[in-house]
Formats: sequence, C-alpha cells, structure tokens
Amino acid sequence: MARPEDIDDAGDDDALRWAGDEERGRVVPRLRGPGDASSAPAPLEDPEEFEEAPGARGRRIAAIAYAVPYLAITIGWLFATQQLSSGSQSLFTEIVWQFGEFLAMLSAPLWFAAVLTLTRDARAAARVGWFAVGLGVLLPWPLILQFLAALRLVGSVS
Amino acid sequence: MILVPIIFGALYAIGLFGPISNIGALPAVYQAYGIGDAVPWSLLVLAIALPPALYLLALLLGSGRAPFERALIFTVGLATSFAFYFGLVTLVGALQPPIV
Repeated sequence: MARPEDIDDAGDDDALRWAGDEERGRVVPRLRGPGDASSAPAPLEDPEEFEEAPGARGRRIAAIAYAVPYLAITIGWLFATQQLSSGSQSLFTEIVWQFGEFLAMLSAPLWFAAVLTLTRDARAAARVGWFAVGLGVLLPWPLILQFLAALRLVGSVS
Repeated sequence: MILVPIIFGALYAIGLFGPISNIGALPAVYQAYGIGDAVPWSLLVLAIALPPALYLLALLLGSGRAPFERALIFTVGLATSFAFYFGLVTLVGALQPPIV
C-alpha cells in the first residue's frame, strides 16, 4: 500500500502543467495547495463596484408588493372556474371551455411572469403600471358577480 | 418569426368559438322564453370583438421582440381574452330577466 511520503510531488507538479508553460512564462503549477494564501479568491476590495442597475430596487419592490394581489386573483379564478359550466353536450365546446378555464386560472400568474420578464430593464414605473393594468383587467368577475348577487339576496331576505 | 403569430392566430380563433356560438343561439333561446327584447347584444358583440382586439394588441406589443417574448405576450393575451369571456358570460347570466 502506498504511503503518503511515497507520493511523488514532482510528478504531481508535472501533471498540473501544460506543455509549453515554460515558454509562456508559467513555471508554477496551475493548482496550488490548500495552505497557499494565493489560492484563495481575492477579497472584494470595493463592494460599491457591484452597484445595482438603476431602478432595480424599485422593480424588485414592485414585484414583491404585487405578488400578494396576484396570488389572490389566481385563487379567485380557481374558485370562479368551479362555478362555471359550458352547459353544452358538444365535446368540442366542452374541450374549448375547459381550455379557456385552464388559461383563465393561469392568467394572473402568466401576466405576473410576463411583466417580470418584459420589464427587466424598464423603469420601475413601467413595471408598476403593467402590474396595475393586470390587476384591473384580470379581476375574477364570475366570482365577484356571484358574491354581489349573494349579497343582494341576503339583503332582500333580511 | 412569422410562425408565432400564426400559431396564436389559430388559438385565438378557437377562443372565438364560444362567443360566436352564443350570438347565434342566445337570441333564439331568449325568444323562446318570451324575453327576446332583453338580448344583451352589446355584451355578445363585445365577447366577439375582444379576442381579435387582444390579438392585435399582442401583435403590436410583441413586434420587434424575441420569439419567446412574443409567445409570452400572445399567451397572456389569450388567457386574458378567456378571462374576459367568462366574466361576460357571467354578466349575461346576471342580467337575464326572470323567466315567467
């Protein structure tokens, strides 16, 4: 069995060199030992060098702020589609209806993802604006109308 | 790339199937129940007009963008068109006068 002292360090060094290194002025092995301080990554001298892109903070805050309303709309559509029915016996109509329900359930996450993707480099105000438009457009009206109808029913009973 | 608008054109056309069926069948049903005057024409026409309008909007917003971004915009438009349609269908049901 080979003992640690039997290992040929010179052989290792040879293995860590490329042919022709000497001609290019590289005479040290490409990999160094763990104790070698120069092998550690150089510390960041100036963290300010890696500043965020302009408006990145605003865009991130907008995304976080709108995540909850969009989640609420998604849940709203999940419930809304449970109340809907095509009322048709036709297979094609039923397939189209189911496809539409599937897309309606995904409309809010899709809008959210699209705004995140397409306003990567835009101003924060543009991202906020598109998020706001989506909130207005994608309200789960079937659920809201049913809720209003239920309120009216309760109002008329009481 | 022309393929993305063509594929989504077909999908948006499928989305028109429901609104066109409704405008063809609903007036006759309303007539049969004696509420022919209450046909919500504006909502039925709006349901037909929305998918093409959203398709054109998606086409405009996606022009000059990469195919993936165009497809994403078209998908969002298609989902929005179905969401609108379901809202309109529910509204038509809510506005329907009581059948006596």
